[in-house]
Order: sequence, then C-alpha cells, then structure tokens
Amino acid sequence: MHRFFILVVAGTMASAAAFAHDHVGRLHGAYALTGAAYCIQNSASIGFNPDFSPKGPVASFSNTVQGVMVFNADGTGTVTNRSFSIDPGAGSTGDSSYQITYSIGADGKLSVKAVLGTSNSTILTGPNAGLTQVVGVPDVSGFIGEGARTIILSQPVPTVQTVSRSNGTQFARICNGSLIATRISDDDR
Amino acid sequence: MHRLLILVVAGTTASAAALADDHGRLRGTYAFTGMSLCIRDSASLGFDPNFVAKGRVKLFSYTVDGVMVFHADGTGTLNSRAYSVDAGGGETSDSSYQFTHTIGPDGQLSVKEVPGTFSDTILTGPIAGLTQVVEIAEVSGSVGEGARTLILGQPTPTVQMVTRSDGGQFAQICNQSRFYVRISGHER
Repeated sequence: MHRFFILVVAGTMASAAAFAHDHVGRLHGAYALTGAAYCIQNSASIGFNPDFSPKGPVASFSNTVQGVMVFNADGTGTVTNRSFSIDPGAGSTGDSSYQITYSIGADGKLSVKAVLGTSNSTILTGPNAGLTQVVGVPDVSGFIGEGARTIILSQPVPTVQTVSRSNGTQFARICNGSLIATRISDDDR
Repeated sequence: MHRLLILVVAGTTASAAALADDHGRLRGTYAFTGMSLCIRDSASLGFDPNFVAKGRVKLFSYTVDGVMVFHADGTGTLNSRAYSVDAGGGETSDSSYQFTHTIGPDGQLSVKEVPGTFSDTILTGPIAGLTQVVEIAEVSGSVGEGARTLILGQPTPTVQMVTRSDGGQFAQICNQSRFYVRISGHER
C-alpha cells in the first residue's frame, strides 16, 4: 500500500509540475515550425488604405516556411526559419531570424511579438538572390496543446508589413498565415 | 512485485480504455489552424458539374484558427476567425456553427455542419460590418494516437453558396487543410 501511495503521489506531482512548467507563463523549449501564408504586395510609396484595401495594383505570392522557434522561460525567444516563396514570376527562398517576446494570458492563449530591430533576412535563391531585407513581423497569437507538445499560431488581425531591401527598394505587404509548431526539445537552445 | 504487476496492468488497461473512448466517442476541446485557396463567382453564374467556373472568378486565400469542441454524444461547436487575402485587400471575420461528428469502422473522422447554425460577421476590410452565411463543406480525416491531434480535409470539391447581408450572393469552391491539437480532454 505504501509503495502504491508513493507511485500515485510521484505520478501526480510529475504531472502537475509538467503542466505548471508548460502553461503558467513559463513556456520553454525548442519547437520546429511549419506553415503557409498568402500575401499581396505593392510599392511602399503606394501602400494600403486604412481598411486594408490596396491603393494600387498588387503582386500576390504564396510562401511556406519552416524553422525553429525557441521559447525561453523568461518570456523571450528566437525564431530562425527558411521561407519558400512562389509567385507567377519565380520561386525564391530566404533565411530569416528575429527575437521574440511572448506571454500566456489567463485564458491560456499564447501571444508572440517580434522584438523591433532584430529581424534580418537574406534572399538565397531566385531573381533577388544575395539581397538582404528587413521585414516587419506581425504579432501572432494562438493555442498551446496539452503538455505543450504542440503550438498553433496565426495572425488575428490584418497588418501592413514594410519590407526594406538592401538595394533600396521598399514594399508594403499584407499576409495571412497559419503556423504549427511541435516541440523537439524541452531545453532552451 | 505482485502489486507492481497489478499497477502496470491497471495502467495499461486504463490507457487502452482512454484510447477506445477517444476513438469511438471523440470528445474534448481542440484548437485548430489551416489554410484554404478559393475561387468565387456570382451565384447566378456558378460552376458547371465538372466544377469549372461559368464566369470570371476571383481568387483568394484565407487562413483560419479557432476552437472546436467535440461532445461525446456526436455533436459539437466551432468558433473561428478567418483572415482572407486577395488582390482587393485583407479582411477578417468571426464564424461559428454547430456540427455532428462520427468515426467510421476504418477510424476516419467525418464532420458535418448542422444546417442553419452558421453565422459569420466580417470584422475588418472594405466590407467590415456585413454578416454572411456560408454553406460549410463536409470534411473528413484522421484521429492521431491518443486523439491528441486531428487532421481534416475536404475529400471532394463542393460548391458552397455565400449569402451576404447586403444581398450579395456568390458561389465558391475552396480546398482546405486543417490541423487540430487537443487543448483539453474536457468539453468546454
């Protein structure tokens, strides 16, 4: 009976510790992510109206992304990813990274914001290969699955992102997006 | 040793029971996300039986995220936010509807909207404030191990009718891919 009690208590404590560890504002670990987005883009000098309709003709493209998102227990983190973009003209890939802060609301919803000034991206292939660019990263929010094994993120409201390339060109764009992240390690990397 | 064996057997049996319960009578709260690409034209033109558009179509993409609650009695509710992007801009909307769900002998999960329960309000974009009713296509897919995740998609093309509060009526065809992760074993 004594051993049974120890086993039950040990199991309960381990379970409670894992839950608190994962959900109460202390998400941490490395997550592999993948997702897709669809975007419209035009020159930054034209841009979008306040109702998110474009002021001029837009180019549209789809991009997929895969990478790693690291959540530190102190509410900070990093994202590194590779994106693969397709439009009627070409396909191109790029590597990006930025730092994040995150919080978990009382309702369990996860909110993630990019730290301003930390985003950088290099275009690897395609017509603009070799250029670098800085892209405004929109806030995303979502849900944490049981045991924090899986996270779902998306962009809750339209956001006009600015893109500044190393050749001096600037764009404004709107993208939707859907991301899934699966935990690959409990450790912050 | 005997007690340990009992514990192991009891644990294994409990685990098997939970799995059977999850698969035979799926229940719990699932967060989901996914993406669709759609073509749409006016309802008066629509599509032919081969799903070829009879007029010029508008192409748009939308992402969706939300929460789907599966009750053990085969019913459920869905609340979601969609974010649509096309050449005319970006818009978001909030939707909800009730559904029924079944799991076939092959383990495939099927989900159907309960007709007349769909509601949707457009929140941002050029037509913010309008409401619309969209016919929801039947989806099916797989239940992951332990019912921790679900994958659903639309197996066949379906022409969906869209009716807006400003009188606009459209026909659309959308593909879709959705991934669900359980956030609670309880129905909320």
